[in-house]
Amino acid sequence: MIMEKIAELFIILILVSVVLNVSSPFLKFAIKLYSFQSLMLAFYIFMGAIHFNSINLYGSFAITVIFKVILIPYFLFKTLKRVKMDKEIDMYIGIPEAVVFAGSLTLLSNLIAQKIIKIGLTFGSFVFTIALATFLIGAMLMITRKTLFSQIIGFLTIDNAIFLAGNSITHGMPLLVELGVLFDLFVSILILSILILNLRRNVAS
Amino acid sequence: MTHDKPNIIYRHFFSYLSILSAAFFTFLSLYNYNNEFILQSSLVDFSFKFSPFSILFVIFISLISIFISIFSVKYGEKYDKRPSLFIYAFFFILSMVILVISNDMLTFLIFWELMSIFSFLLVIYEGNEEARKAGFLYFLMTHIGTVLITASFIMLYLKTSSFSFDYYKGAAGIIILAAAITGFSIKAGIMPFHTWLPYAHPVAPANISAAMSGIMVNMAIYGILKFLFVFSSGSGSFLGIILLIIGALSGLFGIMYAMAQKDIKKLLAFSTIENMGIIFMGIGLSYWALVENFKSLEYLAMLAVLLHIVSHGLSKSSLFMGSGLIDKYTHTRNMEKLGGLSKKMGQLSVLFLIGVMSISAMPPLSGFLSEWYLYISLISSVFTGNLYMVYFSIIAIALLSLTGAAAGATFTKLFGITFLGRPRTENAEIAVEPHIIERIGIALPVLLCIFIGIYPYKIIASLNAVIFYLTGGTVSPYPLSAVHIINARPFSLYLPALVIIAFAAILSIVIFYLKIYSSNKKRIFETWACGLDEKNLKAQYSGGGFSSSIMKVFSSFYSSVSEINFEKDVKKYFRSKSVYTEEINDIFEKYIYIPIEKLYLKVSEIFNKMVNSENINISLGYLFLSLITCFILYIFIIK
Amino acid sequence: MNYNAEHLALGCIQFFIIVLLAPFFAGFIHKLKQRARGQKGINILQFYINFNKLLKKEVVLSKDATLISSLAPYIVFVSYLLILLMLPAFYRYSLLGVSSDVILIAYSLALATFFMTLYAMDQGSAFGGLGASREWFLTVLSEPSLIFIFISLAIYTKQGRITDIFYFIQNGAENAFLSGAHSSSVSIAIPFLLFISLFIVSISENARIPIDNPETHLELTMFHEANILEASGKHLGIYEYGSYLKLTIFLTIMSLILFPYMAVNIYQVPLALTTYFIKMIILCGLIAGVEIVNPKMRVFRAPNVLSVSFILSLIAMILSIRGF
Repeated sequence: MIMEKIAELFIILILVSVVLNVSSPFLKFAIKLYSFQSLMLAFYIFMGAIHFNSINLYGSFAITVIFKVILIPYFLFKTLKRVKMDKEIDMYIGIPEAVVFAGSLTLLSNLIAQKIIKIGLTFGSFVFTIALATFLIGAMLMITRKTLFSQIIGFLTIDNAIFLAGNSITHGMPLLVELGVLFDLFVSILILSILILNLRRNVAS
Repeated sequence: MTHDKPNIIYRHFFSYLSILSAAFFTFLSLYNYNNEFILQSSLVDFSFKFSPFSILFVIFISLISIFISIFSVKYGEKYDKRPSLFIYAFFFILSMVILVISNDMLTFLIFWELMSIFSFLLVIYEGNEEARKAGFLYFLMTHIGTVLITASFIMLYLKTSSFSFDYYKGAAGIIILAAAITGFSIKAGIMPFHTWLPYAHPVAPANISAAMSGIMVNMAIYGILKFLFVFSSGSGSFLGIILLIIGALSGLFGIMYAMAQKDIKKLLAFSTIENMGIIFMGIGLSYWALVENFKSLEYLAMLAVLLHIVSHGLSKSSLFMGSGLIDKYTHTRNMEKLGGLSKKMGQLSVLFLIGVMSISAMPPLSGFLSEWYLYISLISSVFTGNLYMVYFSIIAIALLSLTGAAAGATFTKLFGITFLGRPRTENAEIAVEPHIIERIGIALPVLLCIFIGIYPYKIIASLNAVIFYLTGGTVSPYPLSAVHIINARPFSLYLPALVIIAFAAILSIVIFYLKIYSSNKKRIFETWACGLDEKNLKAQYSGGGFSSSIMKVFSSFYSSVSEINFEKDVKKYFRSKSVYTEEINDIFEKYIYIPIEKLYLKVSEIFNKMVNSENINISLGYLFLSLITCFILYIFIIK
Repeated sequence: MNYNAEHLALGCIQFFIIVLLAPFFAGFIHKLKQRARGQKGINILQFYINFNKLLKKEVVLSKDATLISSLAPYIVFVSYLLILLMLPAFYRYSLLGVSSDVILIAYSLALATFFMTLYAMDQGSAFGGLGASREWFLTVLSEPSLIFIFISLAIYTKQGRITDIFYFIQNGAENAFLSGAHSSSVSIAIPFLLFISLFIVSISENARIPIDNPETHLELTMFHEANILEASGKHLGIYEYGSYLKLTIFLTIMSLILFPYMAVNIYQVPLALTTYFIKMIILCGLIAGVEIVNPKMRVFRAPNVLSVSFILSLIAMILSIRGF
């Protein structure tokens, strides 16, 4: 019971970090937020692991911490340092509007979640709402921001959302699938970093 | 001397006549509670009925027109040269009073049209270019509305084959309701149809603006309530949701545009749009609850609507009268030229302040009471748990709270720039305290605002008769609670009398304490200006500057054009002057009305070319063609 | 609620204790900040001394001042006192608890802002107009979030009065965590979300650092201070005291959202009072921490932060309607 309530707190913090991400143009802060968000996701999985006493979820927790909280942010920081960007200036809509838009996406996703998911099916009562909202806001980040770096952050946010939804409904995915997904993600981040660096080098010269 | 002012008699005669007839109708309606009678003439029969709903409006119109007439007794002296104003005004008020007691469609439409025509004549009364333009727009828009209203009445007639309202109960389906609501909302100035309102209300003389904003727009609300709660067949809950959202948006846009205005009367006109939006929210909520059968929510929202009609009518008419006095004694309505009026017009400024507080919903005045009821009904509509309504009410709460905060900013600007500080130009310096009769005309509605705000139990008890007539239930007047949607206990309580007593008690304790324990020395000195000797009175903060930061955040609401003109060949710090102009355009006007106008002109030009040819045979051919079309229409559609 | 003598007496005591403690909390935050910057810091009771001193000074009124100037300080001060009359802090039955409607509280704050800004514009000083304009700029952005937070609380607990709201949260927490009863209406996440949102709002409403700097006396950077620039003597005194009261109001609401513990009878009062005091000290530390870490931001970045607070309270409201 209490595990579930605490788990809800962690999910809420995921959404808070996404909204903060929308509200801030700073890239360093965005990466930190992503790391924080993944940590909250990991804690959520950990709570689920204690609650269901499932070894699968413990493994999932460990992988999430290693990949999402440490490795991916580390590489992103490294790339950021090399390309010397600190702020996203090019946005299609202003920040307050984007934040309000994110709020309305949450409203929409709650409506959808209420229609398709019954209470009690998931671990934590509004996980699916938050997962859907995180997904939509991540997509919005990718659409409204112009630089590749912010788009990567948006992409990672979407990935976190899918991860969250996957872990909430099925008591965890099979560990092998999870590992595969994470490895894919990791490789794509590496490729994207190289792409950014090369782009920078070619355009700058 | 008698030769110079022969027309003074008109002013006095018609003002007193208005007061007397308003009083007469009040007593008539109270005496004939629930009676009906028919006035037969050779052409049409006029039938009237005094239902509680009509009586509320009769009393409401009569009260405010009495206040306005008292005010006009003195204020009208500058219109003595053309006394037609007083005649029109009298008939304008009369037609509105008869409108609300009429009990058949023909009477209703005749007096609706009379009201529109007299208000049109009053709008163009000043006769200048601006007034004529506004008058034309008003005439056009109001008749589009009338067409829709007439159409809905004709549909009702076809359905029931009767002219009398008695047979219309439960007859109106969704199409009829939609047509009628659209027609009436043009008159109410709801957002997409509001364009005429900010032009027409300011150009009329102030007492007429007060009547138009305080009373006439509410006639549209009367019509909508009649259609939705008396004639409606009780279907289409989505209509309620649409009204709620349109109302909320209208409120927000109205107040945002009000904030951008420099002209006092234009600001007030936009604020009317805002308040109509708030009333629409209540109506939408109440109608939704009617269809979805949430009884206590329906009553509560209806109470919010009726209270807001009353409190808006009172405070808005007093503010318009106040703005008329400012115009009369300073010869300008532009607040950037005013300032410091509160030293010259001490009592007026206090009355104006209370009016401003009431309309921006500051506790404990009547504006807050109605807004409180609206908030409570919105919250309880969230509690109904209806899947869609919950989300729409949340959006409405968001928009309403933003509207409330922006209203505070707008009216702080209005009062602060106009009445406080130092006079910006000579216009403000020549102001003197208005005549006592004018002040009385403003003081009465303001006092009523305070009374309703502090001791609302009486008025809620009387409004219950109307709520019962419209919805079949009542709201408990005491204590102010009665949200029994969740369970059988009151959801929240607001006891205005208790709060105001507590406020007064602490206030007196604080003042008493400070009188004893602090120094009572006072010194009058100059305002601090960084030690500079600032003589330029225009160096004070301007109204445009006041609202510019808020407008910058909400810039997507406006389409503004600003421009700075300066001497280009002089270096930056040596320019003797630079001129800043800013024009705030209505985005609805820019993106909807002007394109429609252009399209219309284009189409009519094409038609003009086609029809007006030299060849008479072609013209005859068109005539023939249209005749045939009419026949075909008659055969296939009407039959 | 039926009031008896105990309720009234304890309500009175609660009111006076909060009113008297208010300058202490403000002074404590100030002291913490100064200590963190390496300064020696003021006396922790300095704000009481200031108030006392200001009362003894003469009032200098501008020659352009009107009735508003001599009336507004009292109305602002009394509106805050009125809210404190309604607010429970460590005792469940506040004095005006019957009528402690959340919307009334939000609009009473607006009333105080209204009069303070009118005061600012009264003397015809350009700084006053600037302060009033900025104050409303912030209020237009933060007032909706404040109302939203209150309404979210009302929807979450299905109560309309602030005393009932916190009593409900307290009861729910006790039931869920002490006796382990299964109740789906209790949540940690929603109050926490509201807490974050309210924290942002209170930073902006109380003129704290990332938004405004209460210590500055450079006119162009002032928000709150520009409004009361012309005030002197006892007027300034009660304005300052009013701002401490406002801070205390926000901190108290935050403390109750975070950890609601209110006494219901006289025997629980000492413990509840101690808890309240500790909570307030922690929150003061939090505010001081935020003020030390952050630089003051540009005026037009304030909407970014305040829109986050608005949206977080919106999310809290959306999530709390899941229950029914």
